[in-house]
Amino acid sequence: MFSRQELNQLYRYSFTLIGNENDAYDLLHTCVEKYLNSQRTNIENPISYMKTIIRNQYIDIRRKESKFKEEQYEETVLYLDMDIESLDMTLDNKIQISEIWQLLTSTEREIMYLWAVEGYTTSELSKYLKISRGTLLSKIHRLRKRILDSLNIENKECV
Amino acid sequence: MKDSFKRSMKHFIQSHELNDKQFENLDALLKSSRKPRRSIWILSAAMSFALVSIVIGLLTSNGLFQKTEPSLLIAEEVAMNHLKLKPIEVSGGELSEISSYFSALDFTLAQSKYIQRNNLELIGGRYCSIQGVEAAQLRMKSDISDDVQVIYQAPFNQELFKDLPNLQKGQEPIRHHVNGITVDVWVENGILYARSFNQPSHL
Repeated sequence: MFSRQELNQLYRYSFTLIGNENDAYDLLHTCVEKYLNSQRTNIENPISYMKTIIRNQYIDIRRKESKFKEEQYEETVLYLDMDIESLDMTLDNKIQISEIWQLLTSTEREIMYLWAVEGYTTSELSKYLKISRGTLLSKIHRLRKRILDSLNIENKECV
Repeated sequence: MKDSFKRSMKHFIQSHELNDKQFENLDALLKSSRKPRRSIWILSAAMSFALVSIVIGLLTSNGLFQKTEPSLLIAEEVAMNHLKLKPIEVSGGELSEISSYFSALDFTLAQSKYIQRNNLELIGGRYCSIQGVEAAQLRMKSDISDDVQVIYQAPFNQELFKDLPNLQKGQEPIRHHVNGITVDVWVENGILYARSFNQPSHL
């Protein structure tokens, strides 16, 4: 049904959302069970379907823990000169990505995953996350600034 | 040495993967759930079919389905009346004699071709109802025995009584046996008839 490669892909998505490895496995396990118990028969894209289950399950867990707060507001500030690739900075390789990872919210981690691993563009991200382009660019702007501030990297070093 | 943030992030995320034990657990879950799921579905379907068949069989054998048939409901009510045999309200040996008493009915009493009056004498009648419809109950008595035959007449309501045998269409009355009472039910000239008598009867 799912190869090891596909299960790893789903595991990484779970890890991205939930933030740590142990919980990621539990989340994936729960979602595989849900998938198997699903009454749907003609699933065209099992991976996409599984990702949707994982995302919904994650939101459900966070809601129960009252930790997940969806940002419903629309931001009006436009960053016309920005897109997701603005995040692609040149870093000194001694910088630990794992340290940056700890700074990110689940939504920001999801953006990272979809952009860096899945290769989503700004438009595709906006559509997938169901947020407007302006809101997404605002998130990217703040995220970029936060990363730079935390790493004490000057803007001039960014590509 | 410098590196791209995007590439570093991708490398970092992809460095996370299931260990062997986790993969084996998930793989086992997927494999174990596939075949049994089909078996469970087949088993569930077979059991459901068997259960439904048993229930239908029991209901049919007990005549529970037939209870909803209007003719049986009529027969049950008529048989109950036959066993009680409440006193007649009007006496008379001819239908024309007692017809005037039933002026409150929405139809005129009639003589059915199905009822043989051999050895039977009309002795009178009373108001009653069949399934809530006001009706006439005519009582006939054998002149050679104590057998009593009760004839019911009510306006035929298609919506209420559904499809009952119609003599004008060449159909025969439907017969039920309820609590030792034999009941015939039929429609003739827009009138619902029911006849009840003790079983066995020479009538």
